[in-house]
Amino acid sequence: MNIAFNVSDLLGILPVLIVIAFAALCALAEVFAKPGQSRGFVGTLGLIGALIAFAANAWQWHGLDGAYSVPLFGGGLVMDAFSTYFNFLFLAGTALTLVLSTKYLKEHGSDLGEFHALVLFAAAGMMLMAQSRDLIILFIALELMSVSIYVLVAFVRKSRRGAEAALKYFLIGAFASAILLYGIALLYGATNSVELTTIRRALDADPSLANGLLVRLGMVLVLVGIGFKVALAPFHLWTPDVYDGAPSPVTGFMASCVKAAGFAVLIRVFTVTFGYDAMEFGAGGNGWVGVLYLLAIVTMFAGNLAALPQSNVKRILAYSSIAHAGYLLVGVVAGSFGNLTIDTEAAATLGPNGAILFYLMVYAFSTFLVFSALSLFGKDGEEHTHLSDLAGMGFRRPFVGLALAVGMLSLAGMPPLGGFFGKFYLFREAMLSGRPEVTILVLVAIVNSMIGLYYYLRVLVFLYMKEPTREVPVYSSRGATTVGLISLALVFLLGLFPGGLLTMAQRGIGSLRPVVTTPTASLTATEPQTPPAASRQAGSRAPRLELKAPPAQLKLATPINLKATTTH
Amino acid sequence: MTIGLSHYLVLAALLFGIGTLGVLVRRNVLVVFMCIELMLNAVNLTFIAFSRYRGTMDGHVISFFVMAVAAAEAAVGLALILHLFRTRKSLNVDEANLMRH
Amino acid sequence: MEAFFFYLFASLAVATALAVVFPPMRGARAPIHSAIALVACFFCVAATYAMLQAHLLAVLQVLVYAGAIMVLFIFVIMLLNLQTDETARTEVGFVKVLSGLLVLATTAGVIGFLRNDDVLLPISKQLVAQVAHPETYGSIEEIGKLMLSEYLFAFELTSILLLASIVGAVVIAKRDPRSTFMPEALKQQLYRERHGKSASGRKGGA
Repeated sequence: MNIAFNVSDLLGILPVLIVIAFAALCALAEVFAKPGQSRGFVGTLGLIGALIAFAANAWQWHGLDGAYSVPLFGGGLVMDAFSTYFNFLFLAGTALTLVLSTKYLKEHGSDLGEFHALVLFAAAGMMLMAQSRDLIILFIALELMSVSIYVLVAFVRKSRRGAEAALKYFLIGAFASAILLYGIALLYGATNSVELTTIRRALDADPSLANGLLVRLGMVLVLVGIGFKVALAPFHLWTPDVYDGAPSPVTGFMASCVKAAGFAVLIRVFTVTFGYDAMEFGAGGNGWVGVLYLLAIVTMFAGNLAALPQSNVKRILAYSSIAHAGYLLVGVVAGSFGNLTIDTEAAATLGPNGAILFYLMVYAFSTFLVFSALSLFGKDGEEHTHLSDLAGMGFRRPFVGLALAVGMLSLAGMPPLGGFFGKFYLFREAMLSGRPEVTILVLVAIVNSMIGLYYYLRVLVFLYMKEPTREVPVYSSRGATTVGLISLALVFLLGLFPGGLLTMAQRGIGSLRPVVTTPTASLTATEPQTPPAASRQAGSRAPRLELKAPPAQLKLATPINLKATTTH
Repeated sequence: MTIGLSHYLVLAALLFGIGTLGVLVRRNVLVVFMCIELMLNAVNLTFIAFSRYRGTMDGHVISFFVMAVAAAEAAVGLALILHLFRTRKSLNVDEANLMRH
Repeated sequence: MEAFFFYLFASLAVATALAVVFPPMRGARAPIHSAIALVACFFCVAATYAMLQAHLLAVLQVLVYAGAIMVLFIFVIMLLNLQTDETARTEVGFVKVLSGLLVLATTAGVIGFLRNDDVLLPISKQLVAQVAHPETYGSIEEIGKLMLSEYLFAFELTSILLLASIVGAVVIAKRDPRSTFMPEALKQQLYRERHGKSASGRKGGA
């Protein structure tokens, strides 16, 4: 019997463990709180948890050699620079959400400690999504995230819209999960495994399998399932209602972190596992890139065109998030054309996939900047986020106006803000792939960014050029100001000095590069086999495997890029 | 006539299709949710059938996890339905007028 | 013999699944009919599990799905006590018909290709041939071993998922902290529905 468990594996998911522990603590703290007592302290507890996890994550980041990944729990999970990069994003998003929501919950009469617990549970789900290399763990982590978010959407009791939005999101989400799971089942049937490395090996070993209908159908179903989660175009119809109905801090959390988690999965499952060579257009490939290509175009237009007539800022942002998913898909499409190879030349560049990582981070902070201001509009379960509610706010509440304006400009992609550089690097790296069809896609994306300008600037017009028509309740909160200031600083800094984050993104994507093709991992193997040919690639650049653990514990998965235990 | 893997897969695909149809056609939230449960069952059947004909037992364990996930979803989903019903006394999805502006 | 039981349970499963989507009787009770049909369907699926030598799963299917999850459904249906006829108001829109047809076409396509053994044959010869299994196949012991070794992390993660869903379900389903316990509120609701006027002005009414 193989126990695929090694105590040092727990260190690999240390940030996740911290987050889960603090989630449980938050839920417990609620039990011991006195009736009527402010639950701000639960939020503080959650914030401390998120910050400790952030520190643990930074520790992991420094201990990791960028190009290598450490498989955990028999290969079902992995710790690499890619997942650690995403964990930074999720933990920062979680901390900002927690700070933002404390006052919001009080104003809307739902000051309960469970909120903070659920935000942390959702964060744990996201982090495990980025770390998982096993479709079943991925699925359960996705459910952990989704279940928590369903509840968060309905959290404000007085809000009827929240209740409706949550139910709608729940039904769509459960439907998408079922589709995703059917895709996983078909892939399992085709390859006899749910582990991504094993699937990849099976597909490599037998091209007729990779192009077979069973695998293609499985891929399409998985893509549809994830497409629902990140709101790609034909599956995006739920987005405006849910984003509008959810409490503003939760909307910010969804737009930034849930989307990022979806893209982390998309990159790891599609670009890495389903391969690069097998997806040329037309014959010879299984063509998922062709599907993504079409989805990218449809998603960009669906988001931008539908946002034009909207008059509610949250709905505008919902459509804008769909459009941004479309831009990111441009990167996924371009990134699957051979840029993510083992080739060391490519390792020195950012690549479209690295640009996606950079973009997601910038997009997250721009989103939080907007929502730090937008969450202030409203009281007692009613949010006032109509464009006319914003009229004149630029002068009456200068900081609120500034946050909204800068956030919108960053989302629109105005230089010198972070949003511009996100788009710039994404489109530039996509162009560098040198394929005519990708160039067309980038041109479409640029046209779409132009269309997008209209609705972002419209918000600014209302902020600064219209007279207020009615009085809306706008509260002020130190937490929201803090979130606004941090995001504002980051949006400017990432625009002016993108270098640091670019290096991080490059390192993050670099850890995915060595294709994991090891022979091992059968239950019957009794000792780690020396990986043949493939080890030359890694061997030339890395020290040989250092395996401190006894062989019996490592036989489940010893991919060549294992740098086991050396980081701890 | 022997019953092969494809028989079970076809049965699962049929159940999955009927479930999907129900999600798209029916408007009662509870029935839509039941159809999603039906889809999950079809997936479980697929896992177990593949598992049986592969001679491994991974599919059984995975189905077990799917059941746990379905239970978690059911708890949250039914709580949300109760919550919604308290604010609006209808379960017709089409009546989500609050969302239209 | 196997063929007979397979076709028996498969046709019953499909028939009951169709009865979930299109309940034979319309009206306020339609959801409960759907639920009962679904329970029947789960029993048939459990039978096919047993035929696939997944005995533990067959038992769990009955205990967890038919026993726990569906009872929860039926509780909620009865708790909500819908008086109105939902199905009568369901309009058959163009989009719905279109999506329905699309699903039917897709399912037919999937079935057509799964039915074709040529598709499955290249994957593995095993897949189309009956394979002999050891005695222990499908036993609790084997599943337990697998679950606590290879799938240990997924197993532990499931417990976190259940914890999160419990916290979530409780926080959503419990009423406003200051208001009354559910049955009281339900009483008021029923009162109002029966008499068509608002209940006595107690706080926490629905």
